[in-house]
Amino acid sequence: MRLNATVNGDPVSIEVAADARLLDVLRETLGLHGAKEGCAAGECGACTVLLDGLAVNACLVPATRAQNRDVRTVEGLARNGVLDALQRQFVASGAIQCGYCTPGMLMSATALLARVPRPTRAEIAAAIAGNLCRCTGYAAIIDAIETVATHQSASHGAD
Amino acid sequence: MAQTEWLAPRDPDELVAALRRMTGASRIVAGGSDLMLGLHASGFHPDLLIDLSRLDGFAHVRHVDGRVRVGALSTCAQLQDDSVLATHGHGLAQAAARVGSAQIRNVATLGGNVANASPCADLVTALVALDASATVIDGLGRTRERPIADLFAPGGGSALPPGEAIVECSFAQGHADRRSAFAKLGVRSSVAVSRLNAALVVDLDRDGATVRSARLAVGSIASAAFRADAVAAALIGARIDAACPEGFTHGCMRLVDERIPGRPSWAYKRLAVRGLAEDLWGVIGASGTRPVGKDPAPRSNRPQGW
Repeated sequence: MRLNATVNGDPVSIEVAADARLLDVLRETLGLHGAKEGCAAGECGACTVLLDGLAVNACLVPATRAQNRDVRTVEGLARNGVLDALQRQFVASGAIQCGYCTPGMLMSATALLARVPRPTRAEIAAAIAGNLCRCTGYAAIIDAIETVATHQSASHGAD
Repeated sequence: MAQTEWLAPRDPDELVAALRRMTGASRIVAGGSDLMLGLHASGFHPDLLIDLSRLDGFAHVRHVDGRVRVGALSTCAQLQDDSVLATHGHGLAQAAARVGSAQIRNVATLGGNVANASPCADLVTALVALDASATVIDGLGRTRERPIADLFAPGGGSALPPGEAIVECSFAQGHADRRSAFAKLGVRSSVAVSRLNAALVVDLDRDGATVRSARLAVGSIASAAFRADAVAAALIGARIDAACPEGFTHGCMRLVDERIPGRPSWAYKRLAVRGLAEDLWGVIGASGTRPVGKDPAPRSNRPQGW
């Protein structure tokens, strides 16, 4: 079937199988390799992308679900070659070890901060509970997300 | 290999027409979190996929005439924060909050959890305790309301024939001061499939503190969640601000002994179920005072030295 969607801000119109997973279409048809296939069972979160702003496991979502909707992957975070605030802070905080979980962590964090601009550490931990870091570098990841939330809230005058 | 056909009905008429086309090799996809995993793991390609995500009007939660009605396409993320359930179905909201991860709760639906008929389905255990029924529509447009338990085949799996879809689940609120709770045990504190889950519904006396009647449902120790009201009867007459009655915790242990004797999981589940029983009782005592997300970390998910 013909899939018309917006991916990282650009309209795409491609042919997909009715039972294709969104993950395969992103990686193989669109060449977006940021979302990773880890467990392929919705447990590790390495394939996390945003569908209309909500974090989903691309390995469990049919590609057809993206029809006329907005898909955002880690490739869509940087603008004009400049990393976004979360990406920069992950680098600054050393929140990346092997990097395999990083795209999924960034997308879960992006979804969280869009919904809860100033989350508690417990809320951050809950938001990334579906993202496994095989290097177990969770503390630095939570630090990075918390730092971005604090700076963004301050710069938006939320306090 | 033939291509899978895809239909995405937008209204009940289109849904009925799509259901009429179903064969034994067709599948319905709601959230997809169970179905897509199964299809990918098995390599099975259905002849027809009916995608329910375009249907409007099946994601409601309403309290009408003493009955709580929940649309089959309500996601776990919606249910965990729903204001009607916070008052009238705390146990179901709690179960929804404990399903998978944020990513899964954003897509997984009530109807999908029931139709998938897993022995450890969290929402099913909550619904069984609430004495819920499901409204099912067929390819002729007929709707029927059936007890939830009738949707599970005796040997396990779904009893829904091809060509039928769940559109709503509902349960009576009753007149009494009713409280409900859900607890589960997984291999980690979140994002885990239940190794054991349970839901409790109690009606209180007019004093708002003494249990008048109680219903218990337990999942993951049989082919589907089942009611164990004889065990829950040990709670009748107990005050909800008192310690968990021993008759209840022992009854829960006996249930595990009866259902899975000799299984490798028996030894730990018979101990773990005590913690679940106490968690349930703790939530009943505290419910109405805490939002779902603020429940204390369940004791039963912390290893206790065994």
